[in-house]
Order: sequence, then C-alpha cells, then structure tokens
Amino acid sequence: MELEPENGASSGAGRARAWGIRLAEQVFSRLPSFTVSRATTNAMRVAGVRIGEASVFWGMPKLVGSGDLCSRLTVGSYCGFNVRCYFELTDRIVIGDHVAVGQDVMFLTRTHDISNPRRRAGDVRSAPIEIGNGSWIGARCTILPGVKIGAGSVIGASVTVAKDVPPNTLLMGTRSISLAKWR
Amino acid sequence: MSNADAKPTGWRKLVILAIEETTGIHPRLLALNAALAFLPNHEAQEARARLFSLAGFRVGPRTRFASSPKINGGSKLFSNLVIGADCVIETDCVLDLGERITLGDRVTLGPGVMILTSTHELDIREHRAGQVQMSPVSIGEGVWCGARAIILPGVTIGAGAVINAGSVVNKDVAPQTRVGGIPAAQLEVLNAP
Repeated sequence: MELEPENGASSGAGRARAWGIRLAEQVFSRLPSFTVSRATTNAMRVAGVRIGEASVFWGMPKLVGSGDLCSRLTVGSYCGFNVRCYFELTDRIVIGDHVAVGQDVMFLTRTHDISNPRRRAGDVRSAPIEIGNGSWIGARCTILPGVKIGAGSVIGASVTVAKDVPPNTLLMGTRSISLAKWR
Repeated sequence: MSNADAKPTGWRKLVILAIEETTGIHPRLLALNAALAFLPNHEAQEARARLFSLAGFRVGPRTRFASSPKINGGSKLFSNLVIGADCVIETDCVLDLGERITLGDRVTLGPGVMILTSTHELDIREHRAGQVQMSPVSIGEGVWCGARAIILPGVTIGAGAVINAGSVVNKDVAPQTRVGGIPAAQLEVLNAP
C-alpha cells in the first residue's frame, strides 16, 4: 500500500477535517454509550472518514494522529464497533466489510526503531493495518503496526496481534486454531 | 442492529431507530455519573457505593467503589447488578449489564477488570460475529480478580478463587483455585478455609 505521509499535513481541508473529528470527539464521547450511534457514525463520515453503508460505531472512538488523519481510516459496510475503540492513524487502517470489533480495541500504526541502545524507542516507524472481511476482534485486543488479519478470522479477548493472521483462524492467547472446516 | 425479519419502512423505521438510539440513556445513571464527575478516585469510596445503591443498583453494606465503573446495558440495567457486602471495586472497571452480574460478599475487583455478558454466536466466514448472545456472570464469595482480568459471558467463579492479572476467563472456575493466562487455566489449588 502506498503511503502519503506528509501530503495530508499540508492540505488545509484535511487539517480542517482533523479538527472536525476532534470537536466531534469532544461532543460524542460525553454522551452515554449505545446512544445516538448513527449520529456519531455520520459525524465521522462528515469529518472525512470513509465508512460504508450500515456500519455503526456504538460509541465515539478515539482517533489519534497528525495532519489529515481522517482520510487514513477506511471502514467497509455492515461493520460494528463497540465502545472505546482507539485508532492511531499515523498510517492507513483499512477495515473490510462485516467486521465486528469489541470494546477497548486498539489499532496502532506507529512504532519505533530499537537499534539505539541509549534510547530504545528511537525513530518513528509506521506500517498500515488491514482487517479482512467478516473477521471478529474481541474485547481489549491490541493490533500492532503492519498486521494483516485475514478474512473470516476471529481474535479472542485481550490478544496482542503482532504478526499476520491467516484467513479463517481463531486466535486465543498464544494458540491458533483453524476455522477452515467451520462453515 | 434490529433483527426484524421484514424490513420496516417509513415512520416505523424512524420509530425503531429512535428507540434503538436512546436505549443507552438511563436518566438515573446519567445523574449519578454527573454527581460523581468531580469526585477524585479513591475518595469517599463507601459514599460512592451508597450513591450507586440510591440510584437503584443492589450494592451491599460496606462495599467500596474506588471510582465509578463504566456501565452499559439495556432496559434492565439497574436490576442486573447485584453486589454483596464488603466488596472492593477498584478503578476503571467495566461492567456490561446486558445480563445479570452477581458478585458475592468480600469480592475484590482489581483495576480495569472487565466483566462482559454479551457476545456473538460464531457464524459463517463472511460474517463471523453473528447473533448477539447474552449470558449471566456470577462471582462467588471472597474472590479476588487481578488487574485487567476479563471475565467472559456465562462464567461462574467459585468461592475463594483467585484470578491472575491480565487473564481471560472463558469457562467456570472451581472454588479455592488460582487461575491465569489466556484462556485462564488452573495454576494451583489454594488452601481451603
């Protein structure tokens, strides 16, 4: 996937949209969860996040990043996102169709170079995240930069996904089970 | 999402939308959270618990809340939480009250413990998260849940069990045992009283 690191930062419209999403966050994160979720989702659409039809954010997620962060998040149709999701949008996050995401899930696209022993969290690196169609991510998962989750995969609660997940796989802790024979 | 078989149209759709969009609003819970918004964590812990029981939750005597847990649920939210006496609820707990959550006496929930009561049926590969399923959670007397543990729907934890920090409990836990890991497995049998 091609990157567009500083393009967004220079465009005025992108910056305006980024402030739009910050304003929406201030308003909608104060409302109770599972209320006005369609309005929340539409506010995100207005702010420039590409969200397919019938996808719902049940609570306002946190969108973090610099410049034109809204354009880096793409969500397919018929997705459901539970409350308190966290998207760090230094790089692209692409979410397919029919994806379900649990509470408190973090999508991180920013990491560091660790070659300097004096400061292990060195230069910033970023890599995109891709979530395949139909997958289901459990509560409190952390999706690390560069991870691709295959279509039809299920990630159990509280798993930190650091490497690619093949399609139709169930991840639970450190175990992975193939779901290829399961429907 | 509404699971009506025939797709409603026109004003019916609007009414269904309006109901769905406002089911998360509980005026008493909103008032409670507003009243406690500026109370610092770990302050007036018993008074906080008393305010929760005034609002309609069943909270036993001498129970302490270090901060207000994050609560969400449907119309039966207030009757779905039953907390015993002498419990301690630490900061940033998440209680999903779609179904009944029962805490016995002398239970301690560490910081960031998440108790969930709703999950999905595992469905076809095009749409893994199927129909929503609710099942109650019950935690026995004297249980200690470590920090950031997650209790999944339908789990019953026996009396005197210890749940390690960061573990994910997906099946029932025997009394007087210590469990840990993802998914939680029995690590040792603790001495009975």
